[in-house]
Amino acid sequence: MRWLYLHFPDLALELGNGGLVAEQPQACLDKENLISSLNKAAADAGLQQGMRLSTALALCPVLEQVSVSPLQLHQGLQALAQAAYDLAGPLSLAPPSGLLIELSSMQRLYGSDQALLACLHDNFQKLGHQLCSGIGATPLAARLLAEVDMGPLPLESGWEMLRSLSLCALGLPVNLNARLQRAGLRQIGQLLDLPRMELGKRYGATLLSVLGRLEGSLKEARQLYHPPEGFERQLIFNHEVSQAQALLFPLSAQLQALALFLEKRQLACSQLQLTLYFRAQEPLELTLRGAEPLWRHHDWRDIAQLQLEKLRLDAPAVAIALQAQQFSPRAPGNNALFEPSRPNEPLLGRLITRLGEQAIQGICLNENHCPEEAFLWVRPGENCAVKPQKALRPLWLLPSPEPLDDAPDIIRGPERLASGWWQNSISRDYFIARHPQGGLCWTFKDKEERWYLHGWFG
Amino acid sequence: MDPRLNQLLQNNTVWTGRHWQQQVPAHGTGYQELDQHLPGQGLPKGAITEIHYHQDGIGELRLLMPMLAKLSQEKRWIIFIAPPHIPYGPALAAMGVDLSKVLVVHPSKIKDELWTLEQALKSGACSAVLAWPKDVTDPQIRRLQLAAQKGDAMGIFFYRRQRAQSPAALRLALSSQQNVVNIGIEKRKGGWPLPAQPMDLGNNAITGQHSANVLKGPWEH
Repeated sequence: MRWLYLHFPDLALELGNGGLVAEQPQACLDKENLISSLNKAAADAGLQQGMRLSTALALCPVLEQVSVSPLQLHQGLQALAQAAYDLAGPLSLAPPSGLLIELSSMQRLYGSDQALLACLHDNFQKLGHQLCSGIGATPLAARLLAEVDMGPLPLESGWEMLRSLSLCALGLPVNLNARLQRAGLRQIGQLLDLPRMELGKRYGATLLSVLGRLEGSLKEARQLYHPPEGFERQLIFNHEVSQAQALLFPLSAQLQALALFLEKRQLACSQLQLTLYFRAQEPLELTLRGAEPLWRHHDWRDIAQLQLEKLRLDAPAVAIALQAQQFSPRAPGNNALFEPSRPNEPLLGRLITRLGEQAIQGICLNENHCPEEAFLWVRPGENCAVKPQKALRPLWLLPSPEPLDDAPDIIRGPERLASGWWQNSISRDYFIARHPQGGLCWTFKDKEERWYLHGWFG
Repeated sequence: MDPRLNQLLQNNTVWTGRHWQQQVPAHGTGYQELDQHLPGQGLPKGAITEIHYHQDGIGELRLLMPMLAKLSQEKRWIIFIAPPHIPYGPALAAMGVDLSKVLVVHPSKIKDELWTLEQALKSGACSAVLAWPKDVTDPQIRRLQLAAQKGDAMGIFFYRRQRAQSPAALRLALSSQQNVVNIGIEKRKGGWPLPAQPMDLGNNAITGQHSANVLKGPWEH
């Protein structure tokens, strides 16, 4: 078996600044306040990995500290695994910042390791991540080689390289490492040449298990990665965002990830839950809704933009989370090849988002003789199978009948409409009349002989 | 003729007044007497048409019904933006409009109304956009005209008040005297304005009067 280990040295920094290349020096700290990763500007200022924060600040007072939560790091790694999963199958996570790929089963697909590696490098560079890779006979060997970043070597010279590495690379407990150093062991090769039994007696089982994993006599527990079923992304800002419009930029990146997620699964979703987090307030939940299932990035972006335009923030937001809901399989492409018209849903979604659902209505017929009840307001595009009446009706109906002062100039009629004795009963004689100003109107006389205007033959 | 003049004519650099009806893509209104005076034999596609009328109920919607009935066979929406009254479903259906393609939008603010208008025109999802804009300026109309062009939608704007001039592609004016509806063409691409002429928009069918010279209205065919 051969293993490929992908090591992302600057993962924390890349996640922390949200994919933007910062001009000013930035660094991430590990648990012991030592610098774990730093950007180019910081390196130019003379900072190095493993430096104390106090030293670093003395060298470079403008250093900006980027903090990344373990959860964020985990999510970032998940996203990387997702991107790698498209290219290679047997994949497992190697926290905090690595991925492990079993190479031999990919051999037939790609022909050579180089081809797979080129694809992976390409993919991750596009996503804005730096990576180093190493190939080894065991996962641990691959990992050690990746961490020294010599580029992928053939197995033989890789092993040579590994033997010449310093003992520190093994990441042994500090006092065990110090004891080995005192015994004059400097390189991994020297350690491997010693008889195991004696080593075990003197330095304990920890060392033996590490060596076993390195040589392959001990199998490493690993869990295969499976892509998640749902979509949920969280983004914690470095700087607080006080303008709702400014949220669109980070949100757009998340929507792009969503579009990719949906694309891979041939799904669409009709609702997104956007949660804004604040420092001292309850989180604000927004629902972005498409009139129909959407999957394109720019459709969702339009809807998000409309929603954010309306939004006024009381307090600056510190993080956002995006969750997709109501998945549905994407409708099969039944559009004709040369049909120019796009489906309706983006327009409806936009209108509903800005104007509200009640402002957009469709019309359908209702089997009722009462003129006000002869039609229904329905959701756009809904169809009901009621045959149109033959009777002559005006194209305009007034929302409610308007009382008339005088009897109108009647042209045609009457048509008696009486219905609904069980509720608001009506009994009216309808006439077509000429309005004094010239139009044809629809008027009626109720039982009390009062005249009303009810429509126009527009 | 002077050969230089001939050359000008052949290069199509001089408008001769005979060919004005040709290149404009349009939808026929279904009223032949009107169509023959319109560029492209109908209301222009992907452009804005203005209809002026002084009084409800003189045929301002009936004028469009045969065309809307045809457009409702398309997959796209026919959209009424902030209409002055309720477009009455039973009457629309009786005139052959497929109601499942009809949308009625009620924006609450004027700003929203203009926004909706532009979105509907440029989306490409609407075949006809009917609107009753109140305060719309010439630059706004020009912008909407571009939107209509982009979305290949017909924008039809109704005005109760006379506008002095406007960048719309076609302007019709409706007026009525006694029982007769007059339609004038106040502006058309590549042609002179045409004074108001009487036209039958199916008034007789509504009023039930059958005179000898009934013209072919939308209900007869």
